[in-house]
Amino acid sequence: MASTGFIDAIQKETGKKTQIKPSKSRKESQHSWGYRLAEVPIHMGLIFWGLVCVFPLVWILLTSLKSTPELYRDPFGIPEAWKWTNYRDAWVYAKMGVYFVNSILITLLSTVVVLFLSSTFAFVLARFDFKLKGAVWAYVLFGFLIPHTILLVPLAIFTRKLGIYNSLYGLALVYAAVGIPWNTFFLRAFMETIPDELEEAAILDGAGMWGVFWYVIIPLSQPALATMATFHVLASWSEYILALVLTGTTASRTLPVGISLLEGHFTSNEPGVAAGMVITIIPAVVAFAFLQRYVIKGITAGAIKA
Amino acid sequence: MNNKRRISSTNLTRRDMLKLLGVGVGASVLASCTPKATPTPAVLPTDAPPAAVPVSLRYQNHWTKETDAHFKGMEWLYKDFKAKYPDITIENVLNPDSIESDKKILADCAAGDCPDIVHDATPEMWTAGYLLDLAPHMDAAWKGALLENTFYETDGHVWALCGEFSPMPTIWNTRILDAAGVSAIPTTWDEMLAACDKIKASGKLPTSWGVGGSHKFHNLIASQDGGMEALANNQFDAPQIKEAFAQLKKFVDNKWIPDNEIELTWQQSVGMFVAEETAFYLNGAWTLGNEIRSEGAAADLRDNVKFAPFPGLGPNGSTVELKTTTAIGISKAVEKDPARLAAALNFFKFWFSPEGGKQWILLTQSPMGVKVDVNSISGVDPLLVAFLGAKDSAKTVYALPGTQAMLERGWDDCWTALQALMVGKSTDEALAAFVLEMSKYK
Amino acid sequence: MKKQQKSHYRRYGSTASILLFLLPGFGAYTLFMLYPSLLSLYYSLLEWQGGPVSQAPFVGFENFRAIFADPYLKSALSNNVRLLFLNWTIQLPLALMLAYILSRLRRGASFYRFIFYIPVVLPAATLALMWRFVFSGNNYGLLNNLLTRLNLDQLVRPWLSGDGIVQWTTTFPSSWVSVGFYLVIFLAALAGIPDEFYEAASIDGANRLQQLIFITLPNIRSVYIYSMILALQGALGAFIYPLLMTRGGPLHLSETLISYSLYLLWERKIWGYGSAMAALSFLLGIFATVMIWKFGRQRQIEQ
Repeated sequence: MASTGFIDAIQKETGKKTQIKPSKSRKESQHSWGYRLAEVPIHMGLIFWGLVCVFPLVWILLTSLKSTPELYRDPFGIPEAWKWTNYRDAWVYAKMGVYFVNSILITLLSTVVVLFLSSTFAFVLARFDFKLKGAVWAYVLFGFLIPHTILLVPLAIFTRKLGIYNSLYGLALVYAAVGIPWNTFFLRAFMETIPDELEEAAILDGAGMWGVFWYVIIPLSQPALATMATFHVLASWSEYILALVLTGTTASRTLPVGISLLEGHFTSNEPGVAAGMVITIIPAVVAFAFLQRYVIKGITAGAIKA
Repeated sequence: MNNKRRISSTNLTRRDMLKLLGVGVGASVLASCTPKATPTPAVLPTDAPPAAVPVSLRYQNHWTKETDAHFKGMEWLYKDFKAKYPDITIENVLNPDSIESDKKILADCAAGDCPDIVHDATPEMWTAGYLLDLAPHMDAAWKGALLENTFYETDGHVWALCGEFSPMPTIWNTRILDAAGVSAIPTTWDEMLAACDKIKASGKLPTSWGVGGSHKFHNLIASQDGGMEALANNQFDAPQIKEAFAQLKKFVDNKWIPDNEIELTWQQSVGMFVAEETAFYLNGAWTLGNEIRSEGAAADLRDNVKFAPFPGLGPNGSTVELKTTTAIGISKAVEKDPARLAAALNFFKFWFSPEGGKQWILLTQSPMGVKVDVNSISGVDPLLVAFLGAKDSAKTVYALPGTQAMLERGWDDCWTALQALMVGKSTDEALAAFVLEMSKYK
Repeated sequence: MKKQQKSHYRRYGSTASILLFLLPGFGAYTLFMLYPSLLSLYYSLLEWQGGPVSQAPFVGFENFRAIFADPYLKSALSNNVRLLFLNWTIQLPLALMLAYILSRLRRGASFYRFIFYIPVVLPAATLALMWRFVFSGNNYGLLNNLLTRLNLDQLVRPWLSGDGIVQWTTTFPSSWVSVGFYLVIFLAALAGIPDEFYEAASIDGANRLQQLIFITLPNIRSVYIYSMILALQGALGAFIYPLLMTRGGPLHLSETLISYSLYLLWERKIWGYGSAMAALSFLLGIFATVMIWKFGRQRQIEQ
């Protein structure tokens, strides 16, 4: 790159607002007493909705500490005797050493792959005109309507033909592929909002398509990429049915499949299953708590340009 | 300075991504270093890589789960089989115990990669050509040890043997009966209706259907003349079937089942018996371990249960169904290699043998499709003996016809019709729902 | 109005490069999603009830004709419509309202946003299990229990089995979960409206309500339309809550198109017909999406 003028321009753009803050011009009115008084019922309403949202988490925690008959007798109460053995059982069946690591690897790998596949796809759809562009776009949107369940048998056959059945890489690739519609959709919307000037600056500096993509669009899309990564991580982590059908042995199994071993068709162990669910949920919630910073940074910064 | 900070924030992101990749690569290197086959707290060789042995067979099932009723049996099986045939390794793959598991095996077979030993084989697998026909491989000696009426067969081709074979008597809670003033276990249908009245009056419920409504349904049909024949001929609107629905409607009208029966799962339904809320239900010998002697049951529940035939509605008198379930077959693909074929057959002959049947009863309380005289086994649970012996006092002992309809839907065939009854529809409407549900098989 | 120009005349990049960029994503998507689902569409043209596919007779549109004669189709479709109704009339407006409130809060907005998004992070199996216990008609069902304790016995209902009731209780959870999802999207969109717009408006004397109607709403229009499309597609493809809460509900009352399709495929093993049911869901989705897209575009042009 001859000059770095466009890098400065990019940095000016990304350094913008990252938090939800009411703008200065509204702050004055918000200090009035009328506004403060109105806030109280609003907060109460918000807290109510928040309780409803958090309730399932609390419930699954309590359920995981009960015994099965107790669950049916009193599903919403506090457990009498806290049955920590449920967790021990879940830990054993979850084979934390293997399944957990597998899940992490697959999630990370598929996220990197899907971001790459989607961003290249979205880049072209967002910044270029070409024949059949509308058709390609409709083609991608079609993917939203495809439920994973109908892919099972065809994918089982197909992954074997390709030799990627029962492997971490195979599952990661499939996860990436099924994430393409959503990721491309969002990334395209985001990329459309990047100002042309930056692109033009790069072209003037002699960048080709790849140059523009890698040095301009990608850095500016960090927020959207981070958002998409978050969504994808959360979705892949607890995905069950594809993982079940496309892996065969312990070596490549993921956490949700391991947890399902706690269930029984004709025997019930719902608290045990609940313990397994908690083991699966906690990392997801923690990851979300950690990543939501980027998500918000991303969405807000991106939306500014809308 | 402002600019400096922003430069670092941009670079950091790409560095972050590289870090992430690095972590990913590092983790995968680490993971490949850790021993792949994490030993379970059992003796079972789980996914153990074959160490230069001639034959390895893959068996995917959920019976090798620690808490499964069959676990001890599987443990014995693998250990003793290995001792007898050191060259044959069974690669055990633990599958979840669920409908998903069936989907997985089906998907595997559709992809041409059937497990060598097929657990829960289905008629479609046979028609699709995934299963080995066992009939030509059965010599007289082996055949003599098996219960022929438990074979899964189509047109003379035996495509699976029966892993769980049990009569399904009616299981009564005598405590509830005593408290309700029911002096004797009902043997005729009129006695049954009277008993249900008394039980309901005493504050308990006679029964809960869960998924088990089909057991009562089939018994009512079998008790009538020509009932089972109608099912065998796919005559789903036969008068015997209509009569069965009419009788079951009484349970709805008199509220002899829970108010929200319609939303109960099998687990909740049978849980009600364990919690001693209902007076009777029907199931196979596996229920002794799963329910009667389970954690949630009172310690003396096993002393307060009695097993009896289902009260007779028609001329065929009291009935007990013989349930053949859990079809275990061999993949057709093993035929290609004579060594593997021999190994698979040896495995089957070892397991489905008098000795195997005996061990199975001792260790799992759940009989297989093998001829065993329960009374001759020392150390067997007297509860099991009583359970299996209950059918001896039945006038009619029957098995569901081996039609495709019954093989595929036998547990669930009348469920939609029962739901119709529960939402207040008439017997005729329930019958129509049943016919519609089974319309695939006409 | 949007300032960015959408028409990107080809200032750089060759056709070859464009194809190169399209290829990875397009290829993976086609291979792992389109091709298998086309296979399943193909299955919907067969009368296939098990056994090898090659032996299943080709029956053309016979399956689709049978679908329209299926008595359970109407109830399944009506459940999808109910979900769509919930999504469009309650879920999206609620998400927008919450987003608006959060964007004007003095503090605590980030906290609320985190909390409201949590249901989206939880697996559906967990939520379905919980809602099943909440709506259970037994003594221990939470809702009925609460109603009894509050002396509102007359409101006690068979939530999971009553005709006219179960259809709503099995569609409600899916709608409720996604409020958090759209909340985050709308929050971002709202934050994107430049302050200058509001400043200019308040200088002109517009009060908050007028600002809301004439500035906020028009500026998030395209995001809202995108969300409507997403919500529509979610409504058509929904299946997990009816499946896990009531197994399709008494007499298939609470089935949706896809859950009914799954039932046909995996429980009754009618592969051809079941695939046709799923295919119907796709086709409806495409049709509806195109309609909305056109409608949205048209209004935009008018503006």
